[in-house]
Amino acid sequence: MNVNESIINTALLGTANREFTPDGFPEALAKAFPLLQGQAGNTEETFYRFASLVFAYQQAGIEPPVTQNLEPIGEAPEEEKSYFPAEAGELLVSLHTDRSRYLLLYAYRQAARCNRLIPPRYLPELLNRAFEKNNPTKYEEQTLLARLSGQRGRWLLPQMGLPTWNSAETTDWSTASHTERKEWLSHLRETNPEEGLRLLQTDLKNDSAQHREDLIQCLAIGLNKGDEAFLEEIATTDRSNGVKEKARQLLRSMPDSKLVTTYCELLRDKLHYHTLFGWSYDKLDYTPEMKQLDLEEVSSNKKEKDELFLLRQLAERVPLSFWTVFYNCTPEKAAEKLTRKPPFAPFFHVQLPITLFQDRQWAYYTLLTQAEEENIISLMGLLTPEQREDIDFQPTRQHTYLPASWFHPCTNETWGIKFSGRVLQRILQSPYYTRDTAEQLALCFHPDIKEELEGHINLQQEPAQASTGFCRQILEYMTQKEKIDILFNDHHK
Amino acid sequence: MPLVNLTEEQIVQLAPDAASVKAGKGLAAKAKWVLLEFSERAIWGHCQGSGKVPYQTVIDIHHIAFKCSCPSRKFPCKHGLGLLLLYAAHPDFFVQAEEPEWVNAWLAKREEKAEKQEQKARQEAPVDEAAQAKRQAARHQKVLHGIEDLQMWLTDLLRNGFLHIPEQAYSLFDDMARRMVDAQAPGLALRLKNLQEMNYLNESWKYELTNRLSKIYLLSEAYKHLEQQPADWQHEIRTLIGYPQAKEEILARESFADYWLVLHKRSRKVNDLNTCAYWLYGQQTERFALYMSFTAPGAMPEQTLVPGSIYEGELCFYQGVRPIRVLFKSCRLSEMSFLPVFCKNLQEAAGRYRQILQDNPFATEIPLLIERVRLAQQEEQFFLMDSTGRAMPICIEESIRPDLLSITGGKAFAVFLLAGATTWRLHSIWYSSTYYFWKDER
Repeated sequence: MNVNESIINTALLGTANREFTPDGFPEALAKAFPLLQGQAGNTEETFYRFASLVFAYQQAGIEPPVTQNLEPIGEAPEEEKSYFPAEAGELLVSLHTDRSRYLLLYAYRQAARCNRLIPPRYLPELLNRAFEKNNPTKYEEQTLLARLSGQRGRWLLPQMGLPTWNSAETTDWSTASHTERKEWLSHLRETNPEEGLRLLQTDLKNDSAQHREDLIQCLAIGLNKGDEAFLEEIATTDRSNGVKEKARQLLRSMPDSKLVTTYCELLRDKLHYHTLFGWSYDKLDYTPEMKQLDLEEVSSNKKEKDELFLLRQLAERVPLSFWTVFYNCTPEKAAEKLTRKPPFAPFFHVQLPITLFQDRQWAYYTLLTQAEEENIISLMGLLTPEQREDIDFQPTRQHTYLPASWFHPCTNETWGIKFSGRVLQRILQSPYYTRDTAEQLALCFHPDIKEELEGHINLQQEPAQASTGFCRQILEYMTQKEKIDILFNDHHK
Repeated sequence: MPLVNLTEEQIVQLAPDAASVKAGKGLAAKAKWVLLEFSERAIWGHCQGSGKVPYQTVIDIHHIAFKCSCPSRKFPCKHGLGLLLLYAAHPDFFVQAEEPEWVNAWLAKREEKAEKQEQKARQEAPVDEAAQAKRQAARHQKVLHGIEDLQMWLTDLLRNGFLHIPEQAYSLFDDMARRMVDAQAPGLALRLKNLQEMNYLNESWKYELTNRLSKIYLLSEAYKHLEQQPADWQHEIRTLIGYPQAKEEILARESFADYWLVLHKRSRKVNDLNTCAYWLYGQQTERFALYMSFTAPGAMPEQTLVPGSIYEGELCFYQGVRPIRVLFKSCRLSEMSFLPVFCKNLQEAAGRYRQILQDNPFATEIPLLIERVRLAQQEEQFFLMDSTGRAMPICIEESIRPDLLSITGGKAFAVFLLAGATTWRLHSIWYSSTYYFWKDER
C-alpha cells in the first residue's frame, strides 16, 4: 500500500483524537488539500474528500513491480503415457461425488490395466479423496492413483499439501494412529507380506494388548510360512493371553505349521470308521502339554463326553489332507464322506476347518455334497464364480442374508448367470435393501441378469415396492459399470 | 414435436438448489417414468415416487412453467426438472397424446390468468408525465434527505475512528442501509451492506474500509451537485445511487452487434432472488460487457449464458461513464469459436486498469485479460508473474488453486480476472487454447 499512512492513522484513531495534516503527499495532492478544505463544511468532510482523491490517485497509478526474490512455481515433468478421454475423468469424479466407492475402485482397477493416465483436470478431487482420513479404501486408492496420475499427480501432491506416494518414506509408523497402522499393515500385507511383517515387528512390544492383538490379526492377510517363527514366538512369550491366543489362531490356520502337524499326529489312529457300525474312537488322555496346544479338557456342552470333545477339537483343526489319508481316497471323495457321515455328530462342524484353512476345493466338494444354508453362508465365499455355478441352492423367505465374504471386490469377479439369478431371488425375499448392496451386486452380477431385473420391475403390481427401487438401483449401477468397461480401455479414443 | 431449445446447463439454472439438480438428474431416466407424453403445448409424465399413486408432472413448454402433484415445497421440484432434462436429451422417449384432464385444466387456468393480465395492461391509463415528474422530484428530495442523514452518520463514524469497526461490523451498517432503502437510494444501501461482508481478518481491511467509506461520501456529495455534472456523469451517479434505467430507453440506444464470448458467470442469491452476472467479450468490438439477470425462484431467466460459449447478438450499453452493463437486444448461441485479445503482459494490463480508473474512479470490478502468466507464491500470498519478471498479487480461491496447477502443470497460461481496488481476483483461464472456468455460486 502506497497510500500515505497518515490517512489511515487518522481514520483509525478518529478526527476527534487526531488532527489530519497532509504531510508527505505528492505535490499534486498536497496542492488539492487547501482547495478541498475551503469548499468543505467541516474537518470530516475535508478528510473524506481528500481520502477519496488519494485512493483514486494511488489506484490510477498502479504499476506491477519487478520482483527480485519471487520465482514462479516450478513446472511438472512431461508425461510419456497418453491420457484417457475427458469423459473418463468426469466419470471418476462423478463416482466420487455420488459416493459410489465400490464402482470407483472398480474403475481405478480397470484403468490400471491400461497404459494410460487420468486427465490432469480431474486429479485434485481424486487425490484429496485418496488421502481423506475417513476413507476406508484410501490405501488401495493411493496405490492405484500412483500409477494412474502419472508425473502430474506426483508433482501435484506437495502443491496440494499432501504426502508423496511412497507412504513408507513419509508416513511415520511410530506417530500413526492405531487405525492408520491397521489399515497400513493390512494394505502392505496384500502387496508385500514380508515388509508388513518387518514393520509389525519394529514397535509391537510397546503397544497395548488390545492393539497388539489387532495388529497381529492383520497377518491373516497373506499369511505364509515366513510368519510362523514370529507367531510361534508371540504364542509363547507375549505377556497377554489374548495375544498368545491370536497368534495360535493364525498358526492353526496354516496347514503346514508345526502346530497343525502336531494336531494331525495326535489324532492319527484315534479315529475308526466302519461302513456298518459307523464311527468309533480310541481314548486320548488329556496332558498338560495339550493346554499349550490350545486344547480344552472339558466340553461346555453337557451332552458331549469330554474325551470325545478333545478328539473333536483335533478333528476340527486338521486339513483335508489328513482325511484323504484317513479314508485312503481322493480329496473329493474324502470331503464327500466327511460331509455325509461326519464324526462326533452332531457336534462336529465341517465348516470350521474349511474356513480356518480357507480351503477352496474342500469348500467346493462340501457344497456339492450338501448345499445347506449353514454351509452356503460360510463356504460360498471361498468358491470361484465357476464353482458357484455348480452349487444348487434354493432361495427361501427365511434365508435372505448375503454375507460379505461372497463379494471379492479386489478380484473384479463377475458371477455366472445361474449364481447371479439365485442371489437375486434370494435377496428379493428380503424386506431391507441398502445402496451398498446394490452397488456391490451390480459389480458382481452377470450382465444377462439385467433382463431378469427388468422383468421383476415390470411384473410388480405395486411399483412403489422397495424391491423395485432396489432393482432399478442395481440396473443403474450396472449401466455405470458398462460405461467404466468401455471408457477404461486402451482402445477407447 | 415441440422443441424445447434448452441446454442442460440452462435447465439446471432453473433449479432452486444443488440438491434439486442432483435429484432431477437422477430422475432424468426413462426407467423412472411410467408415462411420458407430449402435446403442442406441454409435456407431462407420471413419476413413480415412494407413494402408491405416481406423481403427475406437467411442463408448459412455451412459457416454461411447472406443476407437480408431489408434496415438495421446492419449485420447480425434482420431478419437473427430471422431466424437462429427459425431454431435452431424449424427446423420442415421449409419445404424442391428447392432453389429459389434469393437464388441460392447468393449461387453461394459465391461459386465463395470462389473458386477464393482458387485459389489465391494455386498460392501464397512459403515462401521466406531470405526475411522473412530480414523483421524480419527490424521490430526489427523499434521496437528498437520506444523504443528509448518511453524511451525518459518516461524519460521526470518522470522528470516533474506524479502529473498533471490525468488532461491530456485523450490525453497524444495517440501520443506515435500511435508512437508504427508505430514502429510495438502494445503490448506497448495497454499498453499505457490502461493508458488512468485508474480510476484517485481512490486514488490508483498514485501507479497504477507508477507501470504500470515502467513496460513499464522495458519491453522496456528487449526487447533491448532480445538476452541475455532465450528462454522462449524471446517469452514472444516478445509477450508482440506485435509480433504475428504463429498459426501453436502453434498448433504444445504439446497439453493438458482435460475437460475445462469456468469460465468467457469478451467481448469488440475494433476498431469494437469483442474481447472475455474466462478463462478456466482443470479438470485433474488443469490448467488455456485463449482463445482469435477476429471477425469482422457479422463473425462467430471460437469458442463460454458458461460460466459455459464444453468442451472436446485439447489445445495448447502459448510460454512464465508460459503461459496461448491457441489455441484450438479440442473442443466439453461436457455433463459432475465438480467443479474446489478451494484454501481452502485466504492465499492459495495469495500463488498462489505470485508464479505466482515471475515467471513472467509482469503477469496482475491472475485467482484464492477460496472457503468458505463471503462478508464483510467497508465503500465503499468490502472484501472477509475467515473462518480464513483473508480478501482481492476486486473490485465488483455495478450491481453484489445485485445479489450476493440475491443468497447467506450472506452465504459462492466459487469464481472465476482475481487478478491484485492493485485490485482483482470478476467475477463468485458457491453457493450450482451451477455456477452463470454475463455478462462482453462493
